[in-house]
Amino acid sequence: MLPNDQAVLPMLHPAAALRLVNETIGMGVFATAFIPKGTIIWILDELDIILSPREVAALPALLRPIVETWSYVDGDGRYVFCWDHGRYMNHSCEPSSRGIGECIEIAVRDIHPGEQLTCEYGTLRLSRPLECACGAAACRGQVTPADVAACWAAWDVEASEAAQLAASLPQPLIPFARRGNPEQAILDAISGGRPLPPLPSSRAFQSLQPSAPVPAGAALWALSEVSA
Amino acid sequence: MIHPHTSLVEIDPAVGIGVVASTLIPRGTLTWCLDALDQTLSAARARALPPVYGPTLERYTYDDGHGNRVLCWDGGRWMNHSCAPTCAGTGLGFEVALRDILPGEQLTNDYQTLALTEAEGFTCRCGAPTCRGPITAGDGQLIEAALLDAVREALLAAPEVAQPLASLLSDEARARLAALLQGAAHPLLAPSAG
Repeated sequence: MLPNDQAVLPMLHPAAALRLVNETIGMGVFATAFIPKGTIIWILDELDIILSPREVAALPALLRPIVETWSYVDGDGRYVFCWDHGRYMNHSCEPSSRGIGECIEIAVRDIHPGEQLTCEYGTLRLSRPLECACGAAACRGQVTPADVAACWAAWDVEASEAAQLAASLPQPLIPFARRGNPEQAILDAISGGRPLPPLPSSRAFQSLQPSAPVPAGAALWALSEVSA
Repeated sequence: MIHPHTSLVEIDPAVGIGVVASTLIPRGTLTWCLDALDQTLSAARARALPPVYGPTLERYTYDDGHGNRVLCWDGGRWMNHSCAPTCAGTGLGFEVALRDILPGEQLTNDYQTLALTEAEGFTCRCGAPTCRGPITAGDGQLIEAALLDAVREALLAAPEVAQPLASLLSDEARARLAALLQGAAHPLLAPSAG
């Protein structure tokens, strides 16, 4: 779940924040209000759909490519298909948010109205490299499953710095966290204004390899379709 | 799943987002079909969600007439109400275009045919000559009966038009549609179906 109009951070309308970036990239998610660094901008919630590879294989032919394209694969090899516009977040090599474990994305810089919300696909267990044209100064040109090994330390510094600010900010998404969230202790500390427990390293997170092979379709996530 | 030749468009600030045809969608086309990614939350499951989910459920789900809340995964959840709707439900888990829907026109439903709760009542500004103004809980069955002939007529045209959603139909829906096309006299709308 991303902040929406029910939340303290008023994206005026959930879909109004969904805009066409261009015909190649497709849709993206844009801030409609100021989102300070340290804000949790996505959290795995109770309505996100989690499917085993077997369940995905059993889907009707019309639906299977949709799930394969718009899901990410979690540490158990399951497909996570966000129910809301979280599934339209695009990759950037200088993303506006980073993951803390599997279930939290936190803004690693101030995000201004009109700016796109982006994340790092390098942690998403891609099955093959993606060409990247994010335009960032630090664009790697390709996003590959090997990027984590090279970049995890820098990514973790950004996430950790942002997390230190989290307890002093409004965090409208925390009450929506899916029960059993493995990062619940972090969320509880943020809500309670307490010091944070050790954050999961993106390297450790990535080492949780999916139990089932990730189909090639999952790598197409970056090129999300234009039609909703 | 909503018909693939549609897109989400901001209609105006008061109405918000709506579902608009991107090509001609002829009368008789299946415009939406309940599918495996649409979530049907039982009343118990909806109650068990943390209270912060209340507005989310109210906004994005509808009551299927059996007390379940249905959350469409795609554009289905953005279909607006009209008192002269371009689409209607069939009671069999799919909707049909009641007339030709031109590119740029909205796919709409008559919300009164949904099981509106008291809290879901609203004042309609659809602009149709037949606009009823306040749309409230109750009366849904009357409206549904008024639409019944229009739905049946539209379905008779179903075999003549492209049907990109046909593969999503349930076996029951397929059988009842076939029976209707063969001239079956019984009403297509099943009183007990969602």
